Amino acid sequence: MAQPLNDRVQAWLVQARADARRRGLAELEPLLESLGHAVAALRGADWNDEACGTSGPVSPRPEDRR
Amino acid sequence: MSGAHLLSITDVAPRLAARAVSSVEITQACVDVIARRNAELKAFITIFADEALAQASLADADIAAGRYLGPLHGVPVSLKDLIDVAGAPTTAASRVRAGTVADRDASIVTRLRKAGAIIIGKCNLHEFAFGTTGEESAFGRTLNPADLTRSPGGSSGGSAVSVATGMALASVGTDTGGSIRIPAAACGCVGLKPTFGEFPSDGIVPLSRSLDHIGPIARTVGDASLVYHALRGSNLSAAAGDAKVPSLSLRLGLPGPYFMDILDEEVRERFGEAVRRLRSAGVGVGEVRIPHAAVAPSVYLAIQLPEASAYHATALERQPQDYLPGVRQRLELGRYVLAEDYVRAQRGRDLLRREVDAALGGCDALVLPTLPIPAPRFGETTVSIGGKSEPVRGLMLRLTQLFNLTGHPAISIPCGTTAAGLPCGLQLAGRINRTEDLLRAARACAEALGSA
Repeated sequence: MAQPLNDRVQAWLVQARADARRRGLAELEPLLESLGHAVAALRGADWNDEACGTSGPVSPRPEDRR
Repeated sequence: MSGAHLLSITDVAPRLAARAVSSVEITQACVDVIARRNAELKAFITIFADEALAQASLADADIAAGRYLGPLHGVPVSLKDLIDVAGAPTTAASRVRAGTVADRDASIVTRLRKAGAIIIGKCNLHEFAFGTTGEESAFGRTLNPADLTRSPGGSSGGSAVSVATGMALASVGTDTGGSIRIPAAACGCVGLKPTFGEFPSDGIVPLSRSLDHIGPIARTVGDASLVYHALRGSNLSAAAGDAKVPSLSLRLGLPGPYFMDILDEEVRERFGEAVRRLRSAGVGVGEVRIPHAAVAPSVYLAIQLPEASAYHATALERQPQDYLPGVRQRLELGRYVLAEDYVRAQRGRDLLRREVDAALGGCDALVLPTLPIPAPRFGETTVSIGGKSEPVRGLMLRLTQLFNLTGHPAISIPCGTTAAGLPCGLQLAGRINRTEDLLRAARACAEALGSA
Protein backbone atom coordinates (compact mmCIF):
# COMPACT_ATOMS: atom_id res chain seq x y z
CA MET A 1 0.00 0.00 0.00
CA ALA A 2 1.36 3.43 -0.95
CA GLN A 3 2.48 5.53 1.98
CA PRO A 4 0.34 8.70 2.40
CA LEU A 5 2.21 11.94 1.85
CA ASN A 6 2.59 14.18 4.89
CA ASP A 7 2.89 17.99 4.69
CA ARG A 8 6.68 18.01 4.41
CA VAL A 9 6.70 15.49 1.59
CA GLN A 10 3.83 17.34 -0.12
CA ALA A 11 5.85 20.57 0.04
CA TRP A 12 8.87 18.80 -1.46
CA LEU A 13 6.68 17.33 -4.20
CA VAL A 14 5.17 20.72 -5.12
CA GLN A 15 8.64 22.24 -5.44
CA ALA A 16 10.01 19.26 -7.39
CA ARG A 17 7.10 19.32 -9.86
CA ALA A 18 7.48 23.05 -10.43
CA ASP A 19 11.21 22.64 -11.01
CA ALA A 20 10.67 19.77 -13.45
CA ARG A 21 8.13 21.83 -15.43
CA ARG A 22 10.52 24.81 -15.46
CA ARG A 23 13.23 22.54 -16.89
CA GLY A 24 10.93 21.21 -19.59
CA LEU A 25 10.63 17.80 -17.90
CA ALA A 26 6.89 17.66 -17.21
CA GLU A 27 6.99 13.93 -17.95
CA LEU A 28 8.74 13.49 -14.59
CA GLU A 29 5.60 14.42 -12.63
CA PRO A 30 4.15 10.89 -12.26
CA LEU A 31 7.59 9.56 -11.35
CA LEU A 32 7.99 12.28 -8.73
CA GLU A 33 4.63 11.29 -7.26
CA SER A 34 5.85 7.68 -6.91
CA LEU A 35 9.14 8.86 -5.46
CA GLY A 36 7.15 10.94 -2.98
CA HIS A 37 5.52 7.80 -1.62
CA ALA A 38 8.93 6.15 -1.26
CA VAL A 39 10.26 9.22 0.54
CA ALA A 40 7.24 9.20 2.85
CA ALA A 41 7.87 5.54 3.68
CA LEU A 42 11.51 6.27 4.35
CA ARG A 43 10.78 9.24 6.61
CA GLY A 44 8.10 7.30 8.42
CA ALA A 45 10.41 4.38 9.18
CA ASP A 46 10.92 3.59 12.85
CA TRP A 47 14.72 3.80 12.72
CA ASN A 48 14.68 7.57 12.30
CA ASP A 49 15.39 9.81 15.26
CA GLU A 50 14.91 13.53 15.57
CA ALA A 51 16.66 16.42 17.32
CA CYS A 52 13.39 17.42 18.96
CA GLY A 53 13.50 14.24 20.97
CA THR A 54 11.20 11.84 19.21
CA SER A 55 13.11 8.76 18.29
CA GLY A 56 12.08 5.50 16.76
CA PRO A 57 12.16 2.25 18.68
CA VAL A 58 14.86 0.84 16.44
CA SER A 59 18.45 2.01 16.35
CA PRO A 60 20.42 0.88 13.33
CA ARG A 61 23.66 1.17 15.28
CA PRO A 62 23.15 0.36 18.95
CA GLU A 63 26.91 0.20 19.40
CA ASP A 64 27.07 3.94 18.68
CA ARG A 65 24.98 4.64 21.76
CA ARG A 66 27.25 2.99 24.26
CA MET B 1 28.83 -29.72 -35.10
CA SER B 2 29.44 -31.80 -31.94
CA GLY B 3 26.99 -29.90 -29.73
CA ALA B 4 29.77 -29.26 -27.21
CA HIS B 5 28.87 -25.56 -27.21
CA LEU B 6 25.57 -26.53 -25.58
CA LEU B 7 27.18 -28.47 -22.72
CA SER B 8 28.15 -27.16 -19.32
CA ILE B 9 31.75 -26.04 -18.85
CA THR B 10 32.29 -28.78 -16.29
CA ASP B 11 31.25 -31.33 -18.95
CA VAL B 12 33.20 -29.83 -21.81
CA ALA B 13 36.44 -28.97 -19.95
CA PRO B 14 37.66 -32.58 -19.58
CA ARG B 15 36.97 -33.14 -23.28
CA LEU B 16 38.98 -30.04 -24.16
CA ALA B 17 41.80 -31.14 -21.87
CA ALA B 18 41.79 -34.60 -23.46
CA ARG B 19 41.60 -33.03 -26.94
CA ALA B 20 38.40 -34.96 -27.66
CA VAL B 21 36.98 -31.64 -28.81
CA SER B 22 38.80 -28.48 -29.82
CA SER B 23 38.34 -24.92 -28.70
CA VAL B 24 38.11 -23.89 -32.36
CA GLU B 25 35.24 -26.33 -32.85
CA ILE B 26 33.33 -24.99 -29.84
CA THR B 27 34.07 -21.35 -30.63
CA GLN B 28 33.05 -21.80 -34.27
CA ALA B 29 29.77 -23.40 -33.13
CA CYS B 30 29.08 -20.36 -30.88
CA VAL B 31 29.95 -17.98 -33.73
CA ASP B 32 27.58 -19.91 -36.00
CA VAL B 33 24.71 -19.56 -33.49
CA ILE B 34 25.43 -15.85 -33.19
CA ALA B 35 25.45 -15.51 -37.00
CA ARG B 36 22.16 -17.37 -37.23
CA ARG B 37 20.22 -15.83 -34.37
CA ASN B 38 21.70 -12.52 -33.24
CA ALA B 39 19.92 -10.37 -35.82
CA GLU B 40 16.65 -11.48 -34.26
CA LEU B 41 17.54 -11.89 -30.58
CA LYS B 42 19.97 -8.94 -30.38
CA ALA B 43 21.98 -10.57 -27.62
CA PHE B 44 25.32 -9.10 -28.77
CA ILE B 45 26.39 -5.56 -29.57
CA THR B 46 29.99 -6.40 -30.54
CA ILE B 47 31.13 -9.80 -31.79
CA PHE B 48 34.81 -10.79 -31.78
CA ALA B 49 34.43 -13.71 -34.22
CA ASP B 50 37.87 -13.53 -35.85
CA GLU B 51 39.73 -12.68 -32.61
CA ALA B 52 37.90 -15.42 -30.74
CA LEU B 53 38.73 -18.05 -33.35
CA ALA B 54 42.37 -16.96 -33.35
CA GLN B 55 42.47 -17.20 -29.53
CA ALA B 56 40.78 -20.61 -29.75
CA SER B 57 43.44 -21.82 -32.15
CA LEU B 58 46.16 -20.67 -29.74
CA ALA B 59 44.33 -22.38 -26.87
CA ASP B 60 44.25 -25.65 -28.82
CA ALA B 61 47.97 -25.35 -29.55
CA ASP B 62 48.76 -24.66 -25.88
CA ILE B 63 46.65 -27.59 -24.69
CA ALA B 64 48.32 -29.87 -27.24
CA ALA B 65 51.72 -28.69 -25.97
CA GLY B 66 50.78 -29.57 -22.38
CA ARG B 67 50.16 -26.01 -21.25
CA TYR B 68 46.59 -26.57 -20.03
CA LEU B 69 45.43 -23.67 -17.87
CA GLY B 70 42.35 -25.26 -16.32
CA PRO B 71 38.63 -25.69 -16.95
CA LEU B 72 38.06 -22.32 -18.64
CA HIS B 73 40.89 -22.87 -21.12
CA GLY B 74 39.48 -22.54 -24.62
CA VAL B 75 35.93 -21.84 -23.40
CA PRO B 76 33.97 -19.01 -25.13
CA VAL B 77 32.66 -16.46 -22.63
CA SER B 78 30.66 -13.27 -23.31
CA LEU B 79 30.70 -9.98 -21.42
CA LYS B 80 28.01 -7.42 -20.71
CA ASP B 81 28.87 -4.39 -22.81
CA LEU B 82 29.71 -2.11 -19.93
CA ILE B 83 32.93 -4.03 -19.28
CA ASP B 84 36.07 -2.76 -21.03
CA VAL B 85 37.91 -4.87 -23.58
CA ALA B 86 41.04 -3.22 -24.97
CA GLY B 87 40.51 -1.79 -28.44
CA ALA B 88 36.72 -2.27 -28.44
CA PRO B 89 33.90 0.17 -27.75
CA THR B 90 32.16 0.00 -24.37
CA THR B 91 28.72 1.22 -25.38
CA ALA B 92 26.66 0.51 -22.25
CA ALA B 93 23.92 0.21 -24.93
CA SER B 94 23.78 3.98 -25.18
CA ARG B 95 24.41 6.66 -27.80
CA VAL B 96 25.90 8.71 -24.97
CA ARG B 97 29.10 6.67 -25.23
CA ALA B 98 29.34 6.69 -29.04
CA GLY B 99 32.96 6.72 -30.15
CA THR B 100 34.47 5.56 -26.85
CA VAL B 101 37.05 2.80 -27.18
CA ALA B 102 38.67 1.13 -24.18
CA ASP B 103 42.44 1.43 -24.03
CA ARG B 104 42.85 -1.59 -21.75
CA ASP B 105 41.01 -4.62 -20.46
CA ALA B 106 39.06 -4.36 -17.22
CA SER B 107 40.90 -6.28 -14.48
CA ILE B 108 38.24 -8.98 -14.48
CA VAL B 109 38.78 -9.49 -18.23
CA THR B 110 42.49 -9.87 -17.62
CA ARG B 111 41.67 -12.55 -15.05
CA LEU B 112 39.34 -14.38 -17.45
CA ARG B 113 42.01 -14.35 -20.13
CA LYS B 114 44.59 -15.60 -17.62
CA ALA B 115 42.28 -18.55 -16.93
CA GLY B 116 42.26 -19.24 -20.68
CA ALA B 117 38.72 -18.01 -21.48
CA ILE B 118 37.96 -16.90 -25.04
CA ILE B 119 36.17 -13.53 -25.07
CA ILE B 120 33.63 -14.01 -27.85
CA GLY B 121 31.78 -10.71 -27.69
CA LYS B 122 30.01 -8.01 -25.74
CA CYS B 123 26.34 -8.35 -24.90
CA ASN B 124 23.35 -6.08 -25.11
CA LEU B 125 21.84 -4.61 -21.95
CA HIS B 126 19.27 -2.15 -20.72
CA GLU B 127 20.87 1.27 -21.39
CA PHE B 128 23.51 1.95 -18.74
CA ALA B 129 22.15 -1.08 -16.83
CA PHE B 130 19.30 1.16 -15.67
CA GLY B 131 16.30 -1.09 -16.21
CA THR B 132 15.01 -4.60 -15.70
CA THR B 133 13.54 -5.49 -19.10
CA GLY B 134 16.17 -4.76 -21.78
CA GLU B 135 13.57 -2.76 -23.70
CA GLU B 136 15.61 0.42 -23.66
CA SER B 137 18.82 -0.13 -25.63
CA ALA B 138 20.28 2.02 -28.39
CA PHE B 139 20.96 -1.26 -30.21
CA GLY B 140 17.40 -2.58 -30.02
CA ARG B 141 15.76 -4.73 -27.41
CA THR B 142 16.98 -8.24 -26.64
CA LEU B 143 14.30 -10.94 -27.02
CA ASN B 144 13.63 -13.84 -24.67
CA PRO B 145 14.35 -17.08 -26.58
CA ALA B 146 11.56 -18.85 -24.67
CA ASP B 147 8.99 -16.38 -26.06
CA LEU B 148 10.06 -13.69 -28.49
CA THR B 149 7.25 -11.37 -27.39
CA ARG B 150 8.72 -11.20 -23.89
CA SER B 151 11.63 -9.56 -22.13
CA PRO B 152 14.68 -11.67 -21.25
CA GLY B 153 14.92 -9.69 -18.03
CA GLY B 154 17.62 -7.16 -17.37
CA SER B 155 19.74 -5.41 -17.25
CA SER B 156 22.16 -8.23 -18.28
CA GLY B 157 19.58 -9.63 -20.73
CA GLY B 158 21.97 -10.17 -23.65
CA SER B 159 24.33 -12.10 -21.38
CA ALA B 160 21.59 -14.48 -20.25
CA VAL B 161 20.35 -14.99 -23.81
CA SER B 162 23.89 -15.71 -25.03
CA VAL B 163 24.22 -18.48 -22.43
CA ALA B 164 20.72 -19.89 -22.92
CA THR B 165 21.06 -20.20 -26.70
CA GLY B 166 24.60 -21.54 -27.13
CA MET B 167 26.23 -18.27 -28.22
CA ALA B 168 28.62 -18.55 -25.25
CA LEU B 169 29.10 -21.08 -22.47
CA ALA B 170 29.02 -18.40 -19.76
CA SER B 171 28.83 -14.65 -19.42
CA VAL B 172 29.82 -11.94 -16.97
CA GLY B 173 27.27 -9.30 -16.01
CA THR B 174 26.59 -6.76 -13.33
CA ASP B 175 23.83 -6.61 -10.73
CA THR B 176 22.72 -3.39 -9.01
CA GLY B 177 19.20 -4.42 -8.00
CA GLY B 178 18.98 -7.89 -9.54
CA SER B 179 20.45 -7.43 -13.03
CA ILE B 180 22.26 -10.79 -13.06
CA ARG B 181 19.67 -12.84 -11.15
CA ILE B 182 16.60 -11.42 -12.95
CA PRO B 183 17.65 -12.32 -16.54
CA ALA B 184 19.10 -15.61 -15.32
CA ALA B 185 15.68 -16.50 -13.86
CA ALA B 186 13.78 -15.24 -16.92
CA CYS B 187 15.98 -17.25 -19.32
CA GLY B 188 16.41 -20.45 -17.30
CA CYS B 189 20.08 -19.87 -16.36
CA VAL B 190 22.09 -19.65 -13.14
CA GLY B 191 23.06 -16.13 -12.06
CA LEU B 192 25.39 -15.32 -9.17
CA LYS B 193 25.75 -11.98 -7.39
CA PRO B 194 28.72 -12.50 -5.06
CA THR B 195 29.33 -10.61 -1.83
CA PHE B 196 29.71 -6.86 -2.45
CA GLY B 197 33.22 -5.82 -3.48
CA GLU B 198 34.74 -9.24 -4.19
CA PHE B 199 36.19 -8.22 -7.57
CA PRO B 200 37.94 -5.10 -8.85
CA SER B 201 35.49 -2.80 -10.66
CA ASP B 202 37.97 -0.83 -12.77
CA GLY B 203 37.04 -0.67 -16.43
CA ILE B 204 33.34 -1.21 -15.72
CA VAL B 205 30.72 1.51 -16.31
CA PRO B 206 28.95 1.95 -12.96
CA LEU B 207 25.25 2.36 -12.29
CA SER B 208 25.26 2.98 -8.53
CA ARG B 209 28.66 2.35 -7.05
CA SER B 210 27.58 1.25 -3.57
CA LEU B 211 25.10 -1.27 -5.02
CA ASP B 212 26.93 -2.59 -8.10
CA HIS B 213 28.08 -6.21 -8.08
CA ILE B 214 29.92 -8.19 -10.79
CA GLY B 215 29.17 -11.86 -11.38
CA PRO B 216 28.63 -14.78 -13.75
CA ILE B 217 25.63 -16.07 -15.66
CA ALA B 218 26.05 -19.74 -16.54
CA ARG B 219 24.17 -22.96 -17.31
CA THR B 220 24.91 -24.71 -14.03
CA VAL B 221 25.99 -23.81 -10.51
CA GLY B 222 29.27 -25.64 -11.15
CA ASP B 223 29.94 -23.41 -14.15
CA ALA B 224 29.04 -20.28 -12.20
CA SER B 225 31.50 -21.42 -9.55
CA LEU B 226 34.27 -21.81 -12.13
CA VAL B 227 33.73 -18.33 -13.56
CA TYR B 228 33.43 -16.88 -10.05
CA HIS B 229 36.81 -18.35 -9.11
CA ALA B 230 38.35 -17.06 -12.34
CA LEU B 231 37.03 -13.57 -11.57
CA ARG B 232 38.62 -13.84 -8.15
CA GLY B 233 41.89 -14.84 -9.76
CA SER B 234 41.94 -18.07 -7.75
CA ASN B 235 43.09 -21.53 -8.74
CA LEU B 236 40.40 -23.14 -10.89
CA SER B 237 41.57 -26.68 -10.24
CA ALA B 238 40.73 -26.06 -6.58
CA ALA B 239 37.36 -24.63 -7.62
CA ALA B 240 36.55 -27.74 -9.59
CA GLY B 241 37.28 -29.78 -6.47
CA ASP B 242 35.08 -27.54 -4.34
CA ALA B 243 32.23 -28.10 -6.70
CA LYS B 244 31.75 -31.73 -5.66
CA VAL B 245 28.18 -32.42 -4.65
CA PRO B 246 27.86 -32.05 -0.88
CA SER B 247 25.58 -34.02 1.40
CA LEU B 248 22.14 -32.64 1.93
CA SER B 249 22.40 -31.41 5.49
CA LEU B 250 21.35 -27.92 4.61
CA ARG B 251 19.12 -25.64 6.62
CA LEU B 252 17.32 -22.94 4.64
CA GLY B 253 15.37 -19.95 5.95
CA LEU B 254 12.13 -19.05 4.22
CA PRO B 255 11.61 -15.30 4.75
CA GLY B 256 8.13 -13.90 5.13
CA PRO B 257 5.69 -12.32 4.86
CA TYR B 258 6.80 -9.54 2.43
CA PHE B 259 8.58 -11.97 0.09
CA MET B 260 5.54 -14.19 -0.44
CA ASP B 261 2.86 -11.46 -0.48
CA ILE B 262 2.83 -10.66 -4.19
CA LEU B 263 3.56 -13.65 -6.42
CA ASP B 264 2.15 -14.76 -9.73
CA GLU B 265 0.15 -17.93 -9.08
CA GLU B 266 2.31 -20.16 -11.29
CA VAL B 267 5.51 -18.76 -9.79
CA ARG B 268 4.07 -19.50 -6.33
CA GLU B 269 3.26 -23.06 -7.39
CA ARG B 270 6.73 -23.71 -8.88
CA PHE B 271 8.41 -22.27 -5.80
CA GLY B 272 6.20 -24.27 -3.46
CA GLU B 273 6.95 -27.45 -5.40
CA ALA B 274 10.68 -26.68 -5.23
CA VAL B 275 10.55 -26.22 -1.45
CA ARG B 276 8.67 -29.50 -1.09
CA ARG B 277 11.29 -31.29 -3.19
CA LEU B 278 14.09 -29.79 -1.14
CA ARG B 279 12.38 -30.93 2.05
CA SER B 280 11.92 -34.44 0.67
CA ALA B 281 15.63 -34.47 -0.18
CA GLY B 282 16.43 -33.84 3.46
CA VAL B 283 16.91 -30.08 3.41
CA GLY B 284 15.57 -28.34 6.50
CA VAL B 285 13.39 -25.35 5.66
CA GLY B 286 12.14 -23.08 8.45
CA GLU B 287 10.53 -19.65 8.50
CA VAL B 288 12.57 -16.54 9.27
CA ARG B 289 11.72 -12.85 9.43
CA ILE B 290 13.33 -9.71 8.07
CA PRO B 291 11.14 -7.18 9.88
CA HIS B 292 11.90 -4.11 7.75
CA ALA B 293 11.95 -5.85 4.35
CA ALA B 294 8.89 -3.93 3.14
CA VAL B 295 10.83 -0.64 3.38
CA ALA B 296 13.71 -2.00 1.27
CA PRO B 297 12.32 -0.65 -2.05
CA SER B 298 12.16 2.88 -0.60
CA VAL B 299 15.65 2.56 0.85
CA TYR B 300 16.89 1.26 -2.49
CA LEU B 301 15.39 4.14 -4.50
CA ALA B 302 16.83 6.80 -2.20
CA ILE B 303 20.32 5.36 -2.68
CA GLN B 304 20.28 4.01 -6.22
CA LEU B 305 18.70 7.01 -7.95
CA PRO B 306 21.05 9.76 -6.71
CA GLU B 307 24.16 7.60 -7.07
CA ALA B 308 23.23 7.00 -10.72
CA SER B 309 22.38 10.66 -11.27
CA ALA B 310 25.72 11.78 -9.85
CA TYR B 311 27.62 9.68 -12.39
CA HIS B 312 25.46 10.97 -15.27
CA ALA B 313 25.16 14.63 -14.21
CA THR B 314 27.49 16.07 -16.86
CA ALA B 315 26.17 13.90 -19.70
CA LEU B 316 22.58 14.78 -18.74
CA GLU B 317 23.41 18.46 -19.19
CA ARG B 318 25.52 18.10 -22.33
CA GLN B 319 23.72 15.44 -24.36
CA PRO B 320 20.31 14.65 -22.88
CA GLN B 321 18.99 13.80 -26.35
CA ASP B 322 21.36 10.82 -26.53
CA TYR B 323 19.62 8.95 -23.70
CA LEU B 324 16.55 6.85 -24.33
CA PRO B 325 13.57 8.67 -22.80
CA GLY B 326 12.77 6.33 -19.91
CA VAL B 327 16.37 6.05 -18.77
CA ARG B 328 16.84 9.81 -18.96
CA GLN B 329 13.68 10.31 -16.87
CA ARG B 330 14.89 7.97 -14.13
CA LEU B 331 18.30 9.63 -14.10
CA GLU B 332 16.67 13.06 -13.82
CA LEU B 333 14.45 11.73 -11.05
CA GLY B 334 17.51 10.99 -8.94
CA ARG B 335 18.38 14.67 -8.87
CA TYR B 336 15.31 15.32 -6.72
CA VAL B 337 16.28 12.97 -3.90
CA LEU B 338 17.35 15.11 -0.94
CA ALA B 339 20.64 14.43 0.83
CA GLU B 340 18.75 13.98 4.10
CA ASP B 341 16.75 11.14 2.56
CA TYR B 342 19.92 9.51 1.22
CA VAL B 343 21.23 9.58 4.82
CA ARG B 344 18.00 8.10 6.19
CA ALA B 345 18.26 5.36 3.57
CA GLN B 346 21.83 4.57 4.61
CA ARG B 347 20.64 4.08 8.19
CA GLY B 348 17.89 1.82 6.94
CA ARG B 349 20.43 -0.09 4.90
CA ASP B 350 22.53 -0.75 8.03
CA LEU B 351 19.45 -2.05 9.80
CA LEU B 352 18.47 -4.29 6.88
CA ARG B 353 22.00 -5.71 6.75
CA ARG B 354 21.78 -6.67 10.42
CA GLU B 355 18.32 -8.15 9.93
CA VAL B 356 19.50 -10.35 7.05
CA ASP B 357 22.51 -11.38 9.16
CA ALA B 358 20.13 -12.30 11.98
CA ALA B 359 17.83 -14.25 9.63
CA LEU B 360 20.88 -16.22 8.46
CA GLY B 361 21.93 -16.91 12.03
CA GLY B 362 20.26 -20.29 12.22
CA CYS B 363 20.51 -21.42 8.62
CA ASP B 364 22.91 -21.81 5.72
CA ALA B 365 20.97 -19.66 3.27
CA LEU B 366 17.67 -17.89 2.71
CA VAL B 367 15.40 -19.35 0.02
CA LEU B 368 12.88 -17.32 -1.94
CA PRO B 369 11.72 -16.84 -5.52
CA THR B 370 13.94 -14.68 -7.75
CA LEU B 371 11.20 -13.03 -9.79
CA PRO B 372 7.60 -12.74 -8.56
CA ILE B 373 6.38 -12.96 -12.16
CA PRO B 374 7.42 -14.81 -15.31
CA ALA B 375 9.20 -12.75 -17.99
CA PRO B 376 6.85 -9.85 -18.83
CA ARG B 377 5.64 -9.01 -22.32
CA PHE B 378 7.33 -6.10 -24.00
CA GLY B 379 5.47 -2.87 -23.39
CA GLU B 380 3.76 -4.21 -20.30
CA THR B 381 4.14 -1.66 -17.49
CA THR B 382 1.73 -3.31 -15.06
CA VAL B 383 0.54 -6.87 -14.44
CA SER B 384 -2.46 -8.11 -12.50
CA ILE B 385 -1.76 -10.28 -9.47
CA GLY B 386 -4.67 -11.36 -7.31
CA GLY B 387 -6.89 -8.90 -9.17
CA LYS B 388 -4.62 -5.96 -8.31
CA SER B 389 -2.52 -4.03 -10.81
CA GLU B 390 1.17 -4.00 -9.92
CA PRO B 391 4.02 -2.10 -11.64
CA VAL B 392 6.35 -4.41 -13.59
CA ARG B 393 9.56 -2.57 -12.70
CA GLY B 394 8.85 -2.61 -8.97
CA LEU B 395 7.86 -6.27 -9.10
CA MET B 396 10.98 -7.34 -10.96
CA LEU B 397 13.24 -5.75 -8.34
CA ARG B 398 11.09 -6.69 -5.38
CA LEU B 399 12.84 -9.90 -4.30
CA THR B 400 16.41 -9.17 -5.37
CA GLN B 401 17.24 -5.55 -4.46
CA LEU B 402 17.43 -6.25 -0.71
CA PHE B 403 20.67 -8.19 -1.16
CA ASN B 404 22.23 -5.38 -3.19
CA LEU B 405 21.51 -3.08 -0.27
CA THR B 406 22.97 -5.49 2.27
CA GLY B 407 25.81 -6.90 0.14
CA HIS B 408 24.94 -10.55 0.91
CA PRO B 409 25.76 -13.02 -1.88
CA ALA B 410 22.72 -14.33 -3.76
CA ILE B 411 22.21 -16.76 -6.60
CA SER B 412 19.31 -17.67 -8.86
CA ILE B 413 18.90 -21.26 -10.06
CA PRO B 414 16.20 -22.66 -12.36
CA CYS B 415 13.07 -24.03 -10.70
CA GLY B 416 10.74 -25.18 -13.44
CA THR B 417 8.63 -23.39 -15.99
CA THR B 418 5.11 -22.07 -16.30
CA ALA B 419 2.55 -23.89 -18.43
CA ALA B 420 3.58 -21.57 -21.27
CA GLY B 421 7.21 -22.69 -20.92
CA LEU B 422 8.51 -19.53 -19.23
CA PRO B 423 11.36 -20.25 -16.77
CA CYS B 424 11.04 -19.54 -13.05
CA GLY B 425 13.95 -18.93 -10.68
CA LEU B 426 14.68 -19.92 -7.10
CA GLN B 427 16.94 -17.55 -5.18
CA LEU B 428 19.33 -18.40 -2.36
CA ALA B 429 21.10 -15.73 -0.29
CA GLY B 430 24.06 -16.55 1.92
CA ARG B 431 26.33 -15.01 4.50
CA ILE B 432 28.58 -12.03 3.75
CA ASN B 433 32.03 -13.10 2.49
CA ARG B 434 30.86 -16.72 2.27
CA THR B 435 30.06 -16.86 -1.42
CA GLU B 436 31.72 -20.26 -1.77
CA ASP B 437 29.45 -21.68 0.93
CA LEU B 438 26.47 -20.26 -0.96
CA LEU B 439 27.68 -21.93 -4.16
CA ARG B 440 27.94 -25.26 -2.36
CA ALA B 441 24.40 -24.83 -0.98
CA ALA B 442 23.12 -23.87 -4.43
CA ARG B 443 24.75 -26.91 -5.98
CA ALA B 444 23.07 -29.16 -3.44
CA CYS B 445 19.70 -27.53 -4.09
CA ALA B 446 20.12 -27.73 -7.87
CA GLU B 447 20.93 -31.45 -7.51
CA ALA B 448 17.77 -31.94 -5.47
CA LEU B 449 15.70 -30.01 -8.01
CA GLY B 450 17.23 -31.84 -10.94
CA SER B 451 18.71 -28.68 -12.47
CA ALA B 452 22.40 -29.15 -11.58
